[in-house]
Formats: sequence, structure tokens, C-alpha cells
Amino acid sequence: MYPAPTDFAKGLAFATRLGLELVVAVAVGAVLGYGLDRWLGSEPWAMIVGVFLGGVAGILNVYRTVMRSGT
Amino acid sequence: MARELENPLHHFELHPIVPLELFGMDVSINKAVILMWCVCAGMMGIFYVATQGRRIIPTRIQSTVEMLVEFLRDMVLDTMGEKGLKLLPFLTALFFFILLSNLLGLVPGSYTVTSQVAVTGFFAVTVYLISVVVGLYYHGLHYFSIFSPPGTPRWLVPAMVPIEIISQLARPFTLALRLFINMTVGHMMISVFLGLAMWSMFALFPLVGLSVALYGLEVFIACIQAYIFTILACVYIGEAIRLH
Repeated sequence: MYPAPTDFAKGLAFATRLGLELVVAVAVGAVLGYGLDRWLGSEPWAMIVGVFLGGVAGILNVYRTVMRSGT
Repeated sequence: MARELENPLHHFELHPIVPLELFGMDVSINKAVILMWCVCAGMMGIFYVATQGRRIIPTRIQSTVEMLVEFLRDMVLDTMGEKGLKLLPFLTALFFFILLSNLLGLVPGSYTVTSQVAVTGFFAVTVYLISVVVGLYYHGLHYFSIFSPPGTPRWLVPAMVPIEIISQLARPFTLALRLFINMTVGHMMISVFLGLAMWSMFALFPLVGLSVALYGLEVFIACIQAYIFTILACVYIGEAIRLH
């Protein structure tokens, strides 16, 4: 016997995960793009592409998390 | 005359107590280091007392620790399967360290170790590196197929690889930031409300009441965040074990 975390706690864990994953992926994409730009001297294109790819990665992460939680 | 509000970030400033330097690096002993020692000592003390005697009719502390370890064991089995049990000691230590750091940080005058992004970042990077090592251990170089999930159309692969790299790199950041933000913001809010309470006699009672309520919420959040960090560590390592 152990104290099972309540549904509220599980929901909280789930909700904070989704929100942050969406934002952080965009930031990581932007930083990677910025680094690539600094390296290749291609300002601002890699950063623009990085932001878009980061957005896609964020949405993909959230989509996967939600789909997995449903099974 | 209006009094000046105390800086709500004052609580998070670190000043060296014993200044030390090693190979040009600042390794001074400050409040955070001392608190981490306290957390480690507390953990060892709790586990030493809990495992002393191993009675069939357990003492209160023995049954509490047994309950928590059993809870963690079930969590590991749920998310990682039998193979994950090898990592149970690490995850148990991680859970208890974060839980005790969060709770000790709520003692007035002490310091919240987990409000330092260096500490949470180190934990997150360690968890992520473990997940990579575990993935390579179980799947060899096939582990890198996570960058191109099965079912991806061939023409999409050049786009999927950078997307997957970003989504993998985002993991340690989300882990570190969640714990750091939750612990910092909670303490800051209590500090702001108490600062405002000192400012005006009119608002003293409602604001102190609100701070006490927030403090209660903080105790709850301290436990929840330790749980969230550990379960996400389990999920990430579990994904590396199962692959896709």
C-alpha cells in the first residue's frame, strides 16, 4: 500500500509538461539556428528556419504525449 | 513615508561563506552548498534509521520510507518495465534529494537548492545522458533511429531529422526549467506578498493570510515537483529502453 498520487497531481504533471514543451522547443530551435548563423555567417536565415522547426518539434512532442496518454 | 519594498529576489542571492578557488574556478562554499550537505546528511540519516532493525512490524519511519520506495518501484515498473529496475536506486536518490531540497528550502532562513538553475540543469542533463547511454546499451547504433521514426515518408526524412534533434535537445531544458521556475516563483510570490504586508497596515492581515495559504500551496508543490521530475526522468529513460 502506498499513497497513490491523486488524479489532480497526475493532471498537473501532464499539464505543466505540455505547456513548457511547446515553448522550450521553439527556444531551442531558435538558439540552434542562431548558433548556426553565427558559425556560417548566414544571418538571419538559419534562425528563422530554426524557429519554425522548433515550433513543429514542440507541436509534435505535445501530440505524441497526448496520444500516448490516451492509450 | 512609504517604506521601500524588499527585493523579492534577495532570497536567491548567494554569497561565499568560505571563499575557495580551484584551478581558477570559483568553488566557494555558500549557503546552497551547505544546504546540499544537509540534504545528503538528512537522506542518509532517514535511510539509516529506516533500515535499522528491519522489523516485521515496521516503525513509523520505516513504513513511510517503505511506502515511498514501493511507490517509486511501481512508477518505474509502469513507465520502464522490468529493465528499469536497475535504475531504481538512482531514481530513488534523485526523488528524495529533490523532495528534501524543496522541503528544506521552505524553512525560513534556509535556501532552496532547486531554485538554482545550475543544480536542476545538472540533474536534467544527467538524466538525459543516462537515457542516451541506456538506449545505446540496449539498442546499439540502432538507437539513433529515433531521429527518423518508423512510418516517416522518405521525402520527409531531411525535415524530420532536425525536428527530432530539436525535440530531443528540448528535453533536458524542459526538465531543468520546470523545477527551477516552480521553486523560484513560489518563493518569490510569498516574499512579494509579505513585503507588501509590511508596507501597509491596512492590508497586513489579508496579505499575511494569503502568504500563509501560499506557503501551504508551496509545500504541496514541493512534493509534486519532486514527483514530476522523477516520473519524467522515468518516461525519458523508458522511451530509450523501448525505442519508439
